[in-house]
Amino acid sequence: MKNKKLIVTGRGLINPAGNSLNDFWNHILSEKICYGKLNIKDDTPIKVGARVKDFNPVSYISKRIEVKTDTFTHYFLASLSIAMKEAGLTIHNENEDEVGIFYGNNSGGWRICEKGFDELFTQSYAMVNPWQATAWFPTAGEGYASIIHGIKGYSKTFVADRVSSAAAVYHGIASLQNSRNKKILVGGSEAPLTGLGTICYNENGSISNAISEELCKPFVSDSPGIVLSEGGAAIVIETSDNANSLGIAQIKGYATNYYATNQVEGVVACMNRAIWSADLETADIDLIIPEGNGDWESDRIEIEAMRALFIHRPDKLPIAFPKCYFGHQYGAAAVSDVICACMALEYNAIPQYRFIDEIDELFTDKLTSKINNVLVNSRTSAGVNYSFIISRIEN
Amino acid sequence: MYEEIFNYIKEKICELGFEENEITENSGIRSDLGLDSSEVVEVSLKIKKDYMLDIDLKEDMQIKDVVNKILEGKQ
Repeated sequence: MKNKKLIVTGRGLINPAGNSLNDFWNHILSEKICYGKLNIKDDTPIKVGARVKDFNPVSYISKRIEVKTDTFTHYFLASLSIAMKEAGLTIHNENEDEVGIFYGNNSGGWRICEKGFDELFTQSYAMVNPWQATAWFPTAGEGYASIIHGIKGYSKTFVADRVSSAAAVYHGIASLQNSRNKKILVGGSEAPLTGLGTICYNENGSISNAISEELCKPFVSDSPGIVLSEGGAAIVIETSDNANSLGIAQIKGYATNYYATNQVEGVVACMNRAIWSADLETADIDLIIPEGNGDWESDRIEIEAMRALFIHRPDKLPIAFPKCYFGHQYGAAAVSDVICACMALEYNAIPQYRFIDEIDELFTDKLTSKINNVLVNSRTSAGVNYSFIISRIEN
Repeated sequence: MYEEIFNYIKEKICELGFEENEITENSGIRSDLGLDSSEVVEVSLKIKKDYMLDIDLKEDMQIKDVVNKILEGKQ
């Protein structure tokens, strides 16, 4: 694989913490918790989650597309439109084959499924809406993005639990390094906060069943679990020789692996490989944004791995947990964290963590130096790991 | 009755994201308005639900043809 310089030139998100980059980042820095009671149904097990607010899809897409698609697709298309605007990227005849979409989604369209089931069981099969099959399907985000923008480059959708959009970033990068694309639109989205959606997510056993807005506490053993969330996130990545602008940040390192049995070893190996691929050493990492999602079973493995890798650092390692403010967005989570890394680099700031004294003493929520390199982790409970190094752009 | 059904069709097509002022009784479903096949199916389903009529909508019909089909079906 050739080692091309990869530049992030655009970012967009639709998030419970805000639907613009500034609103989002200000919300995170002010440590406001963006989740609350869902009020879906009295007997559904997930009572608390993080909903997107003040979002009108037709501000970003046509009404015709809105009608035919599910909420998760709206979130992605809106995020993408914001990211493309920041990147100044438009698709035309000359570049339509050089731009690809890499998209992550875990569970498709719950809202359209509930509508379809209602039509089927309360009316008849003949009354099921004509968009059921296409709107439900997880690839709808990629499909509609390519239709709307006329994108014809090599593209893929990833359905991979909590790492769905991390897989999108990794394989999108591979398409740039292999010269299959010159620019990529990468992102993910999820909209699971419906009756059926929350019931199904509850089955994985790691989602918070708290009855009030009990705080999600990543890396703390008595955390109530993952706060289920929704939203979308997208970035534009270009090789430096094809980029229209100097860019916002550089994706300097990346790695993935799968260790089913010794998961700690797997996380260590993945982070190590990402750092190595960036030509850096552990001492060069100025900030880590871990998967850290509030599910202790998952978090304790990641803590142990980070301790093993960073134990010899002379100083404490700055750490940030954006998810503790807006929950876990599954399909959108990793790209949201990459955007947080870009924002931390841009503003040289990180959110404070009110439980910092309860986690391993290796970490701090205070910056000790200028941030140059951020390590972002994404992982599943099954042992699939992704790590990325997001760095300040070198002159 | 014709006017009422015409307004009904117009409303259902507007719900799909079309502008009200684009829709006249002479508008071709496909040729002028540009409804795709899934949108035509959706309009058929609305008619079936609200008028209990199975209308075989064709993409080359005009809006007035749809209105007349419903009127015929109601008789």
